[in-house]
Amino acid sequence: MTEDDLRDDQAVLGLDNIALDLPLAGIGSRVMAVLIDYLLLSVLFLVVILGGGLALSFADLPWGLDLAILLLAVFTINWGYFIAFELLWSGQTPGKRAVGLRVVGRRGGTPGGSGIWIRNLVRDIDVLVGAVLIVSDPMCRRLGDRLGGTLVVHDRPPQPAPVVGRLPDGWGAREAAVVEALLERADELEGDRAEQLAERLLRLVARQAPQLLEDLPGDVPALDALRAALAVRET
Amino acid sequence: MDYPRFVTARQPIWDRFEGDLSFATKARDLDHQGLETLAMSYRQVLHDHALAAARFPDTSAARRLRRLAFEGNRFLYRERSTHRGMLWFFFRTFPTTFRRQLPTLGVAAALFGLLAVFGLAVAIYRPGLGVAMVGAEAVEGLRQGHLWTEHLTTTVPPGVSSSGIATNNLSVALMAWAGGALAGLGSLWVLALNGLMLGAVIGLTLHYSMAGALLEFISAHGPLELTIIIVCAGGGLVLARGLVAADDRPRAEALRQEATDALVILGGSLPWLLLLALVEVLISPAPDLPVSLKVGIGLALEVLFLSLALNPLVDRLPPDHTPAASKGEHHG
Repeated sequence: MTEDDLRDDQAVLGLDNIALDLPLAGIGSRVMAVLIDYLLLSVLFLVVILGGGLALSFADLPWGLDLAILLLAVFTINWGYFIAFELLWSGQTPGKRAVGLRVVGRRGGTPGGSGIWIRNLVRDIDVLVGAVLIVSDPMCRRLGDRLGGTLVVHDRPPQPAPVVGRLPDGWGAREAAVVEALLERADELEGDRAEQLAERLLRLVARQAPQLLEDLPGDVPALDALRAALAVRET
Repeated sequence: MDYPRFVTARQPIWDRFEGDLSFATKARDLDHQGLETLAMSYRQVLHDHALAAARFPDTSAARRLRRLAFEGNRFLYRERSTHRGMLWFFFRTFPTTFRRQLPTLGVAAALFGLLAVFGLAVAIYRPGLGVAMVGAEAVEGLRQGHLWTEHLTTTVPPGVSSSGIATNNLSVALMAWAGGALAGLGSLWVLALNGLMLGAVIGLTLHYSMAGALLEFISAHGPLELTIIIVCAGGGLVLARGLVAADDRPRAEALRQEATDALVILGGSLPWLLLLALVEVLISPAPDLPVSLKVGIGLALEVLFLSLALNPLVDRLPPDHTPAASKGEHHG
């Protein structure tokens, strides 16, 4: 398999051929983003046609020029909305920004202008076939992405995440990932489920590395005790 | 190295890179030294990302490094930009691409011509079918000695007519081009439909002895307008070739090359439709202008476009660096 094959069908390779593991956007988030954009586009059409028409009717323009301006405005908005936003907002439209998506180049870099133009000029065709292509492609590309050499990825602002500072002997990355995932999702779990899971982990810590619990007061909640025992900090 | 030691030892590098990247993204104008420093720390982050993905998967550090690797890559790498100004595009990139894709554009023109001849024959030998193509209302007008084009100057303001014509022609050209993405079927459909319609319209006007009036009307704008539609549909076929006939190239590479060529062809053709809309409204229907002038304008526009598209001087210029001619990326 050549580097290009790997790059285009399975993974995006960065410097020194290290796989970047891009957070590719799936069909759900992309449909959500495009629905928001089409909603905005509809509102924009209404504003331009009604507001623009009203404003132009008061202007002293030659016969028919107001209608001509409106026709051109509607055409420009229809074909230019996605292109203009993606060019000016570094690969984002209002819909993509709301959902946390961004268009990037085929190697994960900033996309070129021609890629943006091509992916949006075939958008009408993708309304028919795009969803099937996104679902069936390992890189979640619609036709416009394949032709323009672009990808759509998740691009959300970073959130603080808990990182363990120490682990009992014998614990490895898998156990660290479990602890960090529990602490990160504790607020999302129902009832006292997070406390119960933390207690189970604390029992394991007590069995394998009791010295980590020596300085802890006895009446703290299990989640806080786990944080203190494993020197968890936010990063 | 275990996970906590890995994080403790390397986190300062990640924090510094994240801070530098945030600053660089906001500043947008990084000097060479700053860019080099950022690239160096990006390399460290990328290698930490590879290590974390292999040895500490699913941990917070691995997820953070994955995000930093992506964000650093997005900032530092930019798809090759070939924007070198309008003049360069129209006098260099467009003719080079047009000439490279001439065989495919020729196929589009031949198909259009064949269908036009077929439509003409149908309208002459089976006028009933011709009526079905252009509509009964237009035929009724022809019977009374009026072309349906007369309303352009009598019932609608010129500004509205030219806007309507321009947006309609632009939409047809864009759909002819984008139809190439359906393995070329959309482009072929536009070519076939427009060829048939043209032949049928000429045939019907011949039947009602109005062909002279029609040819007079379309002489100023028609030749180039049809050429542009054919060229845009040909661009769609170029697009389709990248999809269905990659030859011995990797398909992604073929797609990228053909799609870029198709886009250049579209970009070099569409602006002419705006000019043609004005000609169609202001010059074509004007009864005071002599036919010879209209024919002259039509021929001049056609020659101008083809001279630009086939520009023989393009070979004497230094080598082009269009995306199809070279590939790769550079630091942003």
